[in-house]
Amino acid sequence: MLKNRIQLSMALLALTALVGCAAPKPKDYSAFRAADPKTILILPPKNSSPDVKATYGVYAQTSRPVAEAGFYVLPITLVDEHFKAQGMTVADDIHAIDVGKLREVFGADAALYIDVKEYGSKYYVIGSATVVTAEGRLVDLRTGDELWKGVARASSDEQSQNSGGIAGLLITALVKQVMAAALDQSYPIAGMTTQRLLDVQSPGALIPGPRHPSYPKR
Amino acid sequence: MRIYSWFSLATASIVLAACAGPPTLYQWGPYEAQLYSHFKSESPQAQIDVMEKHAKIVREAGQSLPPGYMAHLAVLYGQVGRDADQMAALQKEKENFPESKNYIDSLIGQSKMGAPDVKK
Repeated sequence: MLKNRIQLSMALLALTALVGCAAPKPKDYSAFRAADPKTILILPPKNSSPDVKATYGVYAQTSRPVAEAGFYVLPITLVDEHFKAQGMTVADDIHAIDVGKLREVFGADAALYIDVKEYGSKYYVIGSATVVTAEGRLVDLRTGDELWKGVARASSDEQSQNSGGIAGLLITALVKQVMAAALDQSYPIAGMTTQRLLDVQSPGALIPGPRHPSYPKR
Repeated sequence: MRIYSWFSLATASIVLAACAGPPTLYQWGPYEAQLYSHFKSESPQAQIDVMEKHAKIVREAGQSLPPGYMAHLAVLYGQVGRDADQMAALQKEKENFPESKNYIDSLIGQSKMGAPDVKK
């Protein structure tokens, strides 16, 4: 009896230690707080995925978490039109523009650079899932300093249930694949990704801006 | 039996209220979906109808439209040639969000002089 309890305690201790080691280091937000940006320019995202729909599927869902965090977000369709009018349609070129130039043209305090790493179906041995992964960096346009960076991922199989044996899994996988393509399933998953990446309530995401009730009074 | 029913109702209400989430700063309505529609080059007039309808509801409820909402409506008005409405919408964006003043003014200036070159 005592031996079992000791074994249990040891197991629990070991588990706690492992979890403790696995816990991510809390982010350093001191640069972000010091810079205190009020307005954010979200640039059209870079697309490192094979799906052309990734750029706008993600872009359309970035304003909300950033605005709800309490920042003024420059209207993304206007920003997009602006670059298009200049013949800049490639996000890589847009991301390479000098920060001083961005500050001069748009007047924003900071810019959010997003890179969509995964967008769409991922195929496993049995089955598939719709996955959207995005990385983000917030850069102060007045200094060029990086204020924040993060990465987030969401997948359609986070809540799926397995049933019906191998045949069931194969049929489900096929149906899911067809439906995902037909219904643009990446879009709602992308919404989960941008929420995780940017929403003020998501760990490691943005901190409250001037319009947010939790913004510390200065 | 009656106490049990009351209790279930109370619990259900609490759960539903909790699931509704904290109040948001702005009333987003169809805005995000409309942004996506715009990027997919869907009909500006259909988008205008949806955006105007939501704006009216939010105004009448005394709540706030999100940053960029009126500016996006201005883009749509521009696409269908409603230039006066476009100007009014841009002014409204500035009014709702004074932080946007410099950017919006530069846009209004540009429409007369041409957009500043980001490439130079």
